[in-house]
Amino acid sequence: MEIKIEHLSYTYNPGTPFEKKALDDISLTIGKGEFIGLVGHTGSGKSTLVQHLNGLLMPTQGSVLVDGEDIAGEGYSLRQLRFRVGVVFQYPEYQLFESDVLKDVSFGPKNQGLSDEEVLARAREAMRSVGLDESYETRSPFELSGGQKRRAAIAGILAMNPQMLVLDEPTAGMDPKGREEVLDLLRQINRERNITIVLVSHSMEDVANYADRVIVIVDGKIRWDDSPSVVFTRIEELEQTGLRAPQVSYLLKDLQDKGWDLDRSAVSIDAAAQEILKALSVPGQQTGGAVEESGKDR
Amino acid sequence: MLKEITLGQYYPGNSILHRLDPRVKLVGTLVFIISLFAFGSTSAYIAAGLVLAVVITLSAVPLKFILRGLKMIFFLMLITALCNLFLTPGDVIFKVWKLQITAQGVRMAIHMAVRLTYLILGSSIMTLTTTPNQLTDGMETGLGWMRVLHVPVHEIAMMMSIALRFIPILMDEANRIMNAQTARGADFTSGGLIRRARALIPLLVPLFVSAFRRANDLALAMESRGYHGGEGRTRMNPLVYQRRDHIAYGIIALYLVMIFLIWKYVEISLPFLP
Repeated sequence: MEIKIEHLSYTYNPGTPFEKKALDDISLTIGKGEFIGLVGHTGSGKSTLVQHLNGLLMPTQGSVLVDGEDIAGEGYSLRQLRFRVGVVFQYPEYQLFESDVLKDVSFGPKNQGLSDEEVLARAREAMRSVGLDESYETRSPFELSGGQKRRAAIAGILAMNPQMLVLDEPTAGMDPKGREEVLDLLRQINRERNITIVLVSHSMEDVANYADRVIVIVDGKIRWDDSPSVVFTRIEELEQTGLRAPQVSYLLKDLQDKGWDLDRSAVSIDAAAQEILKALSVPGQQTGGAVEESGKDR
Repeated sequence: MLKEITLGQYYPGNSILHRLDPRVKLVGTLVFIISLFAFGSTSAYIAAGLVLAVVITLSAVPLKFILRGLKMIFFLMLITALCNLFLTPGDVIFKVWKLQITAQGVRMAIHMAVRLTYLILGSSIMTLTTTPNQLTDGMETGLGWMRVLHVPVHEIAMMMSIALRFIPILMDEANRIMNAQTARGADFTSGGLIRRARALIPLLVPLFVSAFRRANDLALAMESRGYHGGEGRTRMNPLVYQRRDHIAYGIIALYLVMIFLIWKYVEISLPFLP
């Protein structure tokens, strides 16, 4: 599926003293199988944009087209759209409510009106893909650990077999291991099942490591929409908008400032390491203390 | 859907009424309400209405917000008026089958409606110009003497302010959970009564869990900052009477005397009032 957003603006509480324009003339296209990182400051409008993708909010101006159909159109089934675009909200574990994990994960597919066997099959598969084995099926969601709850909640969305998965800060408040597991899971879903992923995140590292495309929103407008290697080399501009680049970008920039011959477009740690090794292997390269010094700055 | 509920209806402003000590406003409202019930006559109601109009003007709160409170009790008012109209014994002026309307009934119904309207308007003005925190502060300080009677004044005030503080938080939370469940295909708006009630389970369970979690967090946070109840607790912004507050008390006393005198000596009979 393809989502096309055209000149979207959204205003909260229009016509009251609490009026606030959250999105301003947003246009973008999300194609099938993409892995998009959506970044922006708190209050920049990311979450508002996310809620337009499955029709929880309707544009004040402009339109959202899903496979060419306007979601605000008369007779458009928003409910069907919500099964196709799965949205995982912030702290999704707070939406768990059933007496055991399996029932909770089944809630989505059950709402889709599937047969009991199919609901069960989907729920089991979703649980397995987030790494919760059969022993969790009969446990109460409220007695799981924080990370397990998060995974159970994500499984609840996955079980609907969405074609697009939108996640609002899925790793907030998780430990490094849990973060990596969740993000690796997303990458796997993206590559194996060709499901579009939109990852809203505050962590530039996560976006740099996982996304193929970065969209930066500043004050309700799209500031950049490009590959991570292009966006994250604009360190000064990013900082002006109150954001940061991933740490490796700073490292590469510092090394380049020291006179190293480097390509700064590497944004993941692995790619940056390759780049540095390559530079080091060039004879006559200045190395004295540069790495150590740049480490001190950050 | 949930946004339509407006509780804790403070209207921000800087009028003389906003700046008054909350205790003065509490006493003023109480006096006003008592006067409505103790001195009920057409003349007294006209005088009280004029005073109310002056107070509303002073508050600088748009009339729309003040009248909103009336909408909520419209049916209560209607039922009260009808009961008074039909069930008051006296000189019958109109009779159909077993229902009879008496002159006294008409009088009573009108008085009751006026009384209720004034009551709501008067207390709305107080809540609109006083933040919930000021209100509970005012109650705690103003009712401090009740501690002698072993009434846990501080605890009650603390519970009230926490409850008020949590209304917007829980409303936000309810909205968020509703969004999350809608994203999973939950349907809150269609189906019969039973289906709709069942549809609320995915909303209510997480909401209760979250309320308990927040209560627990809050209790821990309060204890870790050394909260141990009201005993010996000092305030960051103690309530201190200003000159304007003393003047306001004077005006309240004057109002009471005036209303009493009008009730006692001024007789107005309106042509449409029997």
